[in-house]
Amino acid sequence: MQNRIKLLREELGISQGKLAELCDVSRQTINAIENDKYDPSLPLAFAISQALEVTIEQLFLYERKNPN
Amino acid sequence: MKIKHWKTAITGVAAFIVLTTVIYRTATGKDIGFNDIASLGAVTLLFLSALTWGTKEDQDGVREDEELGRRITEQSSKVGYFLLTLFILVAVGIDQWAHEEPSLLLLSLLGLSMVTLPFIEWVHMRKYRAAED
Repeated sequence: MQNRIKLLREELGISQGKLAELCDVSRQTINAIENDKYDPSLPLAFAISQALEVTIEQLFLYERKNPN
Repeated sequence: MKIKHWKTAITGVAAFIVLTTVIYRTATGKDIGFNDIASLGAVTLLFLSALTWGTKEDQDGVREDEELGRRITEQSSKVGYFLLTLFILVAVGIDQWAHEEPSLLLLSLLGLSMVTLPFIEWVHMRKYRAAED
C-alpha cells in the first residue's frame, strides 16, 4: 500500500518525531510506514490522517490485485 | 542518560555476573543446578528486552506496547517457536546418537512441540467461527 505521508508531513513542516508523538507511536513506526515497510492498522491510519488534516483516501493509495 | 541505557547497563552487568559465576562453577568442577540456569535465562531475557525496546519518555526506539512493537513480538514468537522445535529435534538426534536409543521424554516433547501451534490456531479460529444458521 503506497502512501503520501512524507510528502504531506513535509508540506506541513512536521517532523517524523512530532507526527509520531501526535499518533502515540514511535518515530521508527512512522519511518517504516513512510518507506512502505509496514502497513498501519485502521486506527493508526485514522490517527495519521487526523494529524495531517487529510482524509484516509488522500493519504493512502491501494491498488487491488487482479484475481485473474 | 536515557532510561533505556540505564536498563541495558544494569541488566547487562547482572547477566555478565551470572554468566561469569556459571562459567567459574563449571571450570572448578562444581555442580550447575536449576537455579543457575534459571537465573542466567532470566537476566539474559531482561537484558535482551532492555536492548530491544524503547521508551515513550525518551522516544528512543520501537515500544513494546505500540502497534509495530506488537507486530514484531508476534512475528518473533512464531520464528522462536519453530526454532525451539528445531532445537528439540537436534536434541533428539544427539540423544539417539549418544545413547543409541531415543529418550521417550524428548520424543514426547518433540511431538508436543509439533502439535502445539496448530492446536492453539484451531482454538483461536473457533472464536471467529461464523454461526451456521
